[in-house]
Formats: sequence, C-alpha cells, structure tokens
Amino acid sequence: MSYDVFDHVELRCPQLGGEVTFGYCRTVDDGLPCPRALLCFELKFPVEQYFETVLKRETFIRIFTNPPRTRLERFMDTVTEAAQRLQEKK
Amino acid sequence: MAQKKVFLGEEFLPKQWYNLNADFPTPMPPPLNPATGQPPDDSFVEHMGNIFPMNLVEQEMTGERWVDIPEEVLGIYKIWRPSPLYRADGLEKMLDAPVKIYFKNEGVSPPGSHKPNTAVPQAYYNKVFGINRITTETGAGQWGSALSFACQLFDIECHVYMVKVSFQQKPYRRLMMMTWGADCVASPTDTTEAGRKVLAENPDSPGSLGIAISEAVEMALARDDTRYSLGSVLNHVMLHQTVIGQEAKLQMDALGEYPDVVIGCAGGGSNFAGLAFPFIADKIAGKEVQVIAAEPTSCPTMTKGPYAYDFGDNNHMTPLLPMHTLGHNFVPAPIHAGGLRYHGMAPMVSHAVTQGLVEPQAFDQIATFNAGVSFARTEGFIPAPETNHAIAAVIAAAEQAKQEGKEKTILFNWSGHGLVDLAAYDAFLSGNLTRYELPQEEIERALEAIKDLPKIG
Repeated sequence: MSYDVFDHVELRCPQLGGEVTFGYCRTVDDGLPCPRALLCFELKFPVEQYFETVLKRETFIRIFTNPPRTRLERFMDTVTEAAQRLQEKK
Repeated sequence: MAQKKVFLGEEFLPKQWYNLNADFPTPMPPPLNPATGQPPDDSFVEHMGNIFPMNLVEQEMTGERWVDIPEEVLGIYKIWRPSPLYRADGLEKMLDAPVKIYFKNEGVSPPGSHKPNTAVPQAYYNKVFGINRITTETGAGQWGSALSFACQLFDIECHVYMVKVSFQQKPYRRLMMMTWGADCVASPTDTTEAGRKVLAENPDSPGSLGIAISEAVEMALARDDTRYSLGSVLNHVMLHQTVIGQEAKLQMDALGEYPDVVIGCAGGGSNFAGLAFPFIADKIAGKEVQVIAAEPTSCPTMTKGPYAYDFGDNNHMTPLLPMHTLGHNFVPAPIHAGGLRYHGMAPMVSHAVTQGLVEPQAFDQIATFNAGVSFARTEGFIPAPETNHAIAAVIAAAEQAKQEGKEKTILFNWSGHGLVDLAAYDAFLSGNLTRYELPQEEIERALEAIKDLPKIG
C-alpha cells in the first residue's frame, strides 16, 4: 500500500482552470500538498483524515493552518526571489 | 415578445476606463513591499518597473477616476466590442421566478473570454514603452491565449509558460496560442534557473502555477527588452475591464432597466470587476443595487454531515454557507468566514468586500456545472466553467426572489464560452467530478492501510 489510495479522485482546479487528480494536488508543492487541497477535496473524501495520517503534524499545521498568502503577496515574493536568483547568477 | 438582445453601435464604445479607487469611501491600503513590509518607496517602484513597463506601473497606482483609452486600443476593441447584452428569457422560463435576467456576453472576443479587454491594452503599453517581448504564465491557457492574440496585433513576441500538466492535457488553447504566433512551452523548462532547479529534483515534475510564474518573471527580469504580464489581480487589470460595465449600463438604459442585482464570478476578480465596478460607483453614490461576487469554494459544510445536509436542494443549486470548520481538531484559515480573507482575489475586489459594497457567495463545482448545463439547455450558449459560478449565483438569486415574492432584475457577466473547456463538461457529465463513491468502510480500509507509512514532511 502506498500514499496513492485516493490519487485518482478528480476535480477542477480553481487556480489552473483545468481538471486535476488528487495525485497532482498532494505533491504539487515540492512533493507536499497544495495549501488548498483540504478545501478542494473536502467534499470528495475524508481528505483531512488522509493528510493527518500521512503528514507529520508540524507539516500539516504549517501547510494548512497558516493564513494563505494573497495572490499579490505571492507574486511579489516570486519577483523578489527571481531577482535574487539572477543576482546570484551574476 | 421581449427584446432578446441589445447591440450598441461602435460610437458607444467607452472612451475611458473607470477607476473605482477614486471613489472608495475609505481608501485602499497601499500594497506592502515584501522585502521591507513597508508601503512602496521609489526603489520599489523602480523594481516594479523592471517587471512591468513604467506606463503600466503608473496606471497601477493612479488615483484618477477616468483614464483615457488610447485610440490604438479602441481600434482593436472594435473587433468584438461593444459586446452584446442578452436577455436570458429561456433561463427565466425554466426558473419560473419573478425575475428578469440579463447577461453581458464577453464570449464574443476572438479568444472567447473577457481577458483580451486587458491583454490588448497591456500589449499596447508595452509596445509604446519599447518592449519587444512579453512573458506570462498560464494554467489551462485562458490568459495565455488572450495575451498571444493581443501581442500578435502589436507585433510583440509572446512567451507563455504553460503548466506542464495542462500543456499535456489541454492542447486546444496551446494551439490557439501558437496560431497567434506565441511561443508556448511546458513549465518547468530548462531555460530558467527556477525551472532547472525543479527539474534537477524531479525531472518528471508536472509543474505548477507557482513554478510557471517564477519562470516567466525570471525571464522578464533577465532581458531589458522583456516585461511580464499578469491577467488578473492588479489594479490596472481591473481598470481595463470596466468597459464591460460601462457598456452594460448603456444597454440596460436602452431597455429602460436598471439591475437590482449585479453578479460576476470572481477568481482573480477581473471579470467581476469589469461588470461590477461601474455599478458599485452608483452604489457608493446612493443607488440601491446588490452586487454579488460568486467564487468557487470547497469548504461548504460540516465535515461529517450527511451529503443531503451539504446543499439546500437535491440539485445542488443553492449557495453554500460561507462559515464552516473542517472538523474535529482543525480550524481552517478564514477564507470565507469572519475576516473575509480573499487570498486569490484582486485587492480592489477584496477592499470592496470589506467596505460592504460587494457580497461574496461561494458555490461548489457540482452546483456550478448543474447551473452551466441548465444555461446551455435554455439559452444555447455553453459557458466557460468559471462563468458557471455566476450562473449558479443567478439561479440562487432567482430562487430567493421567488421565496420572497419580489420582482428583481438580475444582470450578470457571461465571461466566456466553454467550447475549449468541453473536457471539463466531460468530467462533470461522466460523473468524475461528483463525490467519491466508495462506501465508507472501503474509505476507512484505505485510510487504515496507510496509517503506518512513514510520515511526510
């Protein structure tokens, strides 16, 4: 048995604008779940129980209980990080 | 027989965009520089000028109520604008409620959605600023196709990072982009530091919107002749979309109507803002109009409640309640509750909500697809899946009017057609978007089977 027991469950991702499976959402962020995954899959299966089972407690809390960054905040973070990457490259 | 649609002549195409920022009763808080946590200073503005052309940065921060639309942009808007306003009398008949329903059809643009309303001016402002190349990211391709179309018209290179999982699954918008001359690549790529880092760790990475944004931004920063373009969230995007609401006001006026309820779907907020902001201006000036932002939700219910408890009716048409917990020992971030933190939405839309000018409502995707199918079967047009949220809100508003015995005029933004999104309808119609149907004991067995696996994180 592996972590993929619900991987085939599908929904329409409100961020991507297309259908994705839970298998994508549970690993999309460097192998960790999308912060929206609990909300998105709540109607599909006991997703909270699933993540409580497979994630370390501190990881669960870090991903799902922190207030999500706004889209603009995330964008600004991305800009800052990209600028830093390019600076380091130089 | 009631008039079915209203066309406006090209002479009625709005000549200015409307900036709601000028009329908010309480000004919007400024965005904070993430590096300092402080409001933007000159260096921050300069920083942003490396991402966007400075003329758009200035527009982003303008407090002017009206901004002139350049002649070159108007000339291209005329390809599909003014867009028609329709009366949805077929849907009215189906609902049998005391309502008149009108919708602004933004699906008539070449890419099939409202998105070119901002893609065209963004391409134009980049061009006059001397930019030769624009980068962006796209998920399933709605924004990427709109920007590709706009860039082609201004002879600008367009480089689109499309999330790989969508790139592989959704060929049609990718082909639209390529037809309009854009370079559309599957993200992550090996052309950026961000992409290379991801591929080094996972060569089979299916990508994510975050990675695609990182690649597009990095590419924009790396070249002086290149800038980045964003199709939602930012103030200037909201500004450009307000041609929708301005036209709708003229069209409603031509019918002798004014809406009691204005509805738009709100993901990043731009199509909602486009229709609603000119009406919110009226609301601020004292007019009575209810403005509803319909957004997707997935957090609608008491976690362990029976399915029938999730919805007000068997067709899943009613709005889902906005305040919930996710059960036993977990309290979610208040996305729909109390503090109304709209993490995906444009700051201007969020501010309008906190000012009490906009009422958010959340709808589950089953309810939205049911609404979209009802619309297609009564009005003919197949809506984009995002547009279905607005239709679900319309149906809920009509049901409410019926219960209250009140006559209402409802106006909503039909933000795009769904002809390139039929895979989504396939997923819905074939039952793949419905609840996981395994019996409870099998779910429990699955959870039991994984409980001793090493914990991740």
